[in-house]
Amino acid sequence: MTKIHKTLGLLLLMSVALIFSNCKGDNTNGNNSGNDTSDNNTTHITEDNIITYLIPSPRDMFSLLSGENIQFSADVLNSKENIDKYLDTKSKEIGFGIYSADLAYTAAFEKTNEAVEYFKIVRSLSDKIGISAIFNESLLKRINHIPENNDSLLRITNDTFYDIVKFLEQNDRKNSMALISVGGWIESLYIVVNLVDEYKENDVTIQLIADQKNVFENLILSLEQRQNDRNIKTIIEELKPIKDVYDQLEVIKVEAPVKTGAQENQIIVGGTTKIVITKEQFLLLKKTISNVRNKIVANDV
Amino acid sequence: MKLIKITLLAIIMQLPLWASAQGDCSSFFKFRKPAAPYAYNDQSSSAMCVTGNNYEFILPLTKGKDYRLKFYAGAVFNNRVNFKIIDQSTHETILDLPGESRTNEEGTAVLRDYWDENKNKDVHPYFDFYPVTSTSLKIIIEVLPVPQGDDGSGVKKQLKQERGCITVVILDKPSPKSSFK
Repeated sequence: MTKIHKTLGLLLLMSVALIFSNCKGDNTNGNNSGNDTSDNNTTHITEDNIITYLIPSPRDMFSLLSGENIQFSADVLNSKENIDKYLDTKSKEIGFGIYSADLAYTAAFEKTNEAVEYFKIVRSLSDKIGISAIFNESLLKRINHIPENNDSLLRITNDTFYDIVKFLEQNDRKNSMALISVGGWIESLYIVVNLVDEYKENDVTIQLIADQKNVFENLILSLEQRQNDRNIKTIIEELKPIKDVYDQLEVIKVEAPVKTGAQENQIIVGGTTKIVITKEQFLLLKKTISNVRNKIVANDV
Repeated sequence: MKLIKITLLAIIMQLPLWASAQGDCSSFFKFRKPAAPYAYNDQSSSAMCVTGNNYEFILPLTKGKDYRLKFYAGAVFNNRVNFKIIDQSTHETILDLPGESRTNEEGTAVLRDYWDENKNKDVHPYFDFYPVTSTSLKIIIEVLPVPQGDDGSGVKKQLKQERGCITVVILDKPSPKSSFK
């Protein structure tokens, strides 16, 4: 076989592979495919639904906390010097998520000086993971002229997250998005659990932490869809201790659900079940999250 | 020479497919821009879909926020898309939204814009949700198969399929009665 034939053969193989990868779509089948047997005959749900597990960004948690009885503390932020430890792709992408969460936290509490510092770190990491296009001159101008333009850090941070998601989706970097989500989620939860001084029953922040069980399940299922990637497989292993704690939390039935507060045009959802976290489970979760997060920020995984 | 022709043909055949997979969904980003008081929620997602398949999105909702959901589908689907939303905590179907099909009249699709007399403008349908407790929604999107023509020859033909983008737009705002505030 001549060299040209070998090259063309390789191209043919690559073409076939690309065609198959396109046919697969954005997602792979999940293990718990819907077998919903609804009485409506317009939708026929089969075993091979293609499932996407959605994960909120750090902004989601912090937007609920600002203004609450929780005080800002810079002690919970990832040290700026840790950026030097992130040398491989996995740690850079997870680190990007971690520092993005720190940025969201400082922005939510309107700590301008800290936020600008963390913005610089996020920008520096963005360069290393190939998304520096987002952090362009116009964005930097916005940061530098916040008071004159009646802009806000939170708004700029939100717009930046929007652009990051858009960029990664457009460039089909789903695995990068998964690793960034892991960093963002674990740092957000680490911050929140460490801002709570003591466990109180029926406390809204404690409940918010317990409710992360749903988000964490989505995160794990989303990672499992991509576990062919060595970096993602490693991180699933690292998250197992957190999974063990969340698996312990009981989901109880609410006997007389209170369904007030909705506006006329809103569809009421939830209310019939509640995720319960005991004091012991909360303390165990706090310890476990801290251990896993500290290992990740030190790039010891 | 034959191998060269086959290879080139394979490469040429895949180009439009690749271009559509990359291009269609990015053009849908314009639909994600929020309108005050709602903010963009990063869980908004797009999927490259194929007729005859079902797609699910598992969306966690946090107590303390109001959510607004909108759906957009590529013109290639011709509004032949069914949506179903299930509350994961109760397993109840809370919305069952038909697309246009043989059994549903034209104009009933959830994706179709309508004229709002009060606002005096075209409105894309949206659905507002209030989570009493944190829960997850299962959004099931059924992309109906392309109607297959019958030429009467009795010869079985390859099924015609279309590919296009479907976007789930998620917006949120702090709930006015939230105990967080």
